[in-house]
Amino acid sequence: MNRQREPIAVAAILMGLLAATCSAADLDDALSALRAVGPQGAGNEAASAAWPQAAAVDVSHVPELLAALKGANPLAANWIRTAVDTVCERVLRDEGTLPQAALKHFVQDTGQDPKARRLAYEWLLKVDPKAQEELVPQWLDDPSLELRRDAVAQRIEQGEQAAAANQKDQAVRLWEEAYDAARDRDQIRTLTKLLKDQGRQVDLVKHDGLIVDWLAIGPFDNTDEAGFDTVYEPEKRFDPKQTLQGKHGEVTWIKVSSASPEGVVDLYAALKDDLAKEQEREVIAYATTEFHSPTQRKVQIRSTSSNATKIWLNGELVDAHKVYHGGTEYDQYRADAVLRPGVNRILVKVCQNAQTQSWTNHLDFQLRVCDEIGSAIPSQK
Amino acid sequence: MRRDRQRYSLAEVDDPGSTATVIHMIKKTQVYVILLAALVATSAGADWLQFRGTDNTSCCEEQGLPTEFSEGKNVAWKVDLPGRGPASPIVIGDRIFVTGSSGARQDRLHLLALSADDGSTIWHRQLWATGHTEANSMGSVANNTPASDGKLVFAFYSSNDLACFDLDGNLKWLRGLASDFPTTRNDVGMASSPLVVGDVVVVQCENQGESFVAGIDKHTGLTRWQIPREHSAIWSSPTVLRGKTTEDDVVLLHGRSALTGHAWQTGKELFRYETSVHTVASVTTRGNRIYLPANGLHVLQYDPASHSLEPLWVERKLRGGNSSPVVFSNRVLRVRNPAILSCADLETGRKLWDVRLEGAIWATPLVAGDYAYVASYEGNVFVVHLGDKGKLASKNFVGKGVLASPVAAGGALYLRNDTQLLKIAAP
Repeated sequence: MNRQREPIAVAAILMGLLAATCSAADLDDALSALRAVGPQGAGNEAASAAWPQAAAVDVSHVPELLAALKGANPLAANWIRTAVDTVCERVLRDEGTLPQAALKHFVQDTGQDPKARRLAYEWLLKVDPKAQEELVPQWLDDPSLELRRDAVAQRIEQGEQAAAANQKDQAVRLWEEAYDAARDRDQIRTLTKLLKDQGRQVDLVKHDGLIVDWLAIGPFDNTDEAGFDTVYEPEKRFDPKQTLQGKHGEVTWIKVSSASPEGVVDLYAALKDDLAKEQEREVIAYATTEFHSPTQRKVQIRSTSSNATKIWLNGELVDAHKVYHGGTEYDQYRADAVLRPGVNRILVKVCQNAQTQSWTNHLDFQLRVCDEIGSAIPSQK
Repeated sequence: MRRDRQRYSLAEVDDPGSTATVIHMIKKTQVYVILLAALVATSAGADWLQFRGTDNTSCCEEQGLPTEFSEGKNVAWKVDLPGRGPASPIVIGDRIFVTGSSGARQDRLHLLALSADDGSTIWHRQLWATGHTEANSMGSVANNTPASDGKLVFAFYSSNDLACFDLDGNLKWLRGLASDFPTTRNDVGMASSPLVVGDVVVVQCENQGESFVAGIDKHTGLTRWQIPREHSAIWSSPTVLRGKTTEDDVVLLHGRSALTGHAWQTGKELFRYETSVHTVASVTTRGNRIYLPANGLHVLQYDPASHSLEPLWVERKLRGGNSSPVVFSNRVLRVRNPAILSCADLETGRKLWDVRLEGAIWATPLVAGDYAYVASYEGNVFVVHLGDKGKLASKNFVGKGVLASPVAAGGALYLRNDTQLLKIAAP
């Protein structure tokens, strides 16, 4: 026997014995331990003891492992997914197959965890590559981002084939469908270019629910970055007609409407008359807006800024990042929040430090309200 | 019996007529045991356990590695990887461990164990990133080279996920440091590789947000110690300064304004050397000497009794690029921009020779025998003969996107391009 394969074979036999002796109750206990892990390494010891049992179950228990991903915190999810992978890898190697029907059923159950469904799909493809043809076209509105992505990619490709065949109307129809469904930035960018090349208008602000109309006030002082934790008047109360003491004198709320195609709200430009000099450092600006919701609902408030920021919803601090010039990845910060029925007030605090490098010449932000997969939730009066 | 065994020498065993057959067989068994032990020791010594090698020196004792390679010539195997990444592989016995990241958001984190024999996948584990996954398009979330103590593998990613597996792919523990420190990130991706020293895994999360270095217990995954750091991005990696015993090992850390030395047991700062330190290249050591890439190459003598440093020399001309210095024989190598391999005298810093190469060089050169292997991002591996004057021996294309530093173990060279891992070995 190959020297390298020998320990694998022994391990496989041991795993098989373990699998045979792992009862449903044992698996429940193991999954409970895996789901109990938390920050700072909490629960690692118990999880480490439980993981071999979860990873040694008979393959018929894989749907239970996958189902345990629903509601699992991100750390627990990784404990569980590595168990799924270990079981499937072992069984596929030893037996050459996996339970196709059970995996397919799981993939199609939209009530399961989105990532768990994707995981099941990838194992399914290893034994049933043709499942792709049947399943992917159904996923354009799927709640699993990674499954939806495949459907969008398929529409993009079909559109390109139609365009190559000189069926431009068909291509545009496919790409518009894909654009509406797309949630990943790279696909949105690709589709924006494809549609613009065909003379079609695309509106990212509308597509993503970026908020562009604000009231802004400032500057306030942020010398030595102390202003981040200083509670200035806009954090205490809001009156659109109030006059406040700013860094260099009295300041008032002014209307700001971003014309940026990506909804960037430029506070340096908005407050230029109140700044001591262009792109003044060590300043703070606030922006606020009303957001109307017909119902109470859970949302995400996603924002992007290279400045340090705080965000309040109806006076409650929902997000805070004392990070200066650490990047501007789209949807950089994601805060869970609950809108109340009627009028909600969003307040953003944007802080600039003393850095003077060219890449720090920004006092701006992007902000949108969306669901957990990034679908826009517009303000509705 | 034990005493009798000790009396037999290898010379006696070689003399077939000197003893009775049964005793001769016992002696032969003893010799096999000795030879096997020597073989095991050599094999273990040949492991490549972390970034820039087990001692972070980028040097190895491998002899006779191919100096020319291409498709069909000395390429033992080449495999596609499921994820991208600048991370170098590590080698433990006959297994290669390599990380990668994939997906639209680069949030699929991979760790694979490959067979050194044929490159086949022995096991493959995946994690979902729990922290930020933004990364420069050249890099990925698998910027950080994994580390090992020979029994456990510690995979660390730019998302600040840290996972411990045994060599058979069994998960031992997980940390999502992003859940503990959500603002720990930078806009081009974190890249400091973990360092195993003593019983801890040292992770350097030095950045504009929550900035720290932590010593994580390698058995439990719990934080043994954590020290605050400057709020400034660092991509350099923690480096070990070996002591007389493991207890005496010291962890060297780059900060933007100082190199600091720390006790691995507690994180306690033992010494500090203030200068404008390189933020990407990492320090290297030999004995108690420290070779620090900064605004030039700074050479420091460390006194373990007093934990003090004595500056020996600084050579501004050896201010290099992003790859780390390599010390070999009585020389030191630096890659200077644009793509110049410089060799200097170790005692004086006096430059001895330059060899002009091509391309963007991020990877740290590997020194094996009389040759340096220098990889460019464009995919060329330059083999330079290290004589009195450096001489380019060959230029070998291995595929675009090489950021990973070359690795040598078990008589082979391992190279990673953007999407593949290659084993280079004589047939």
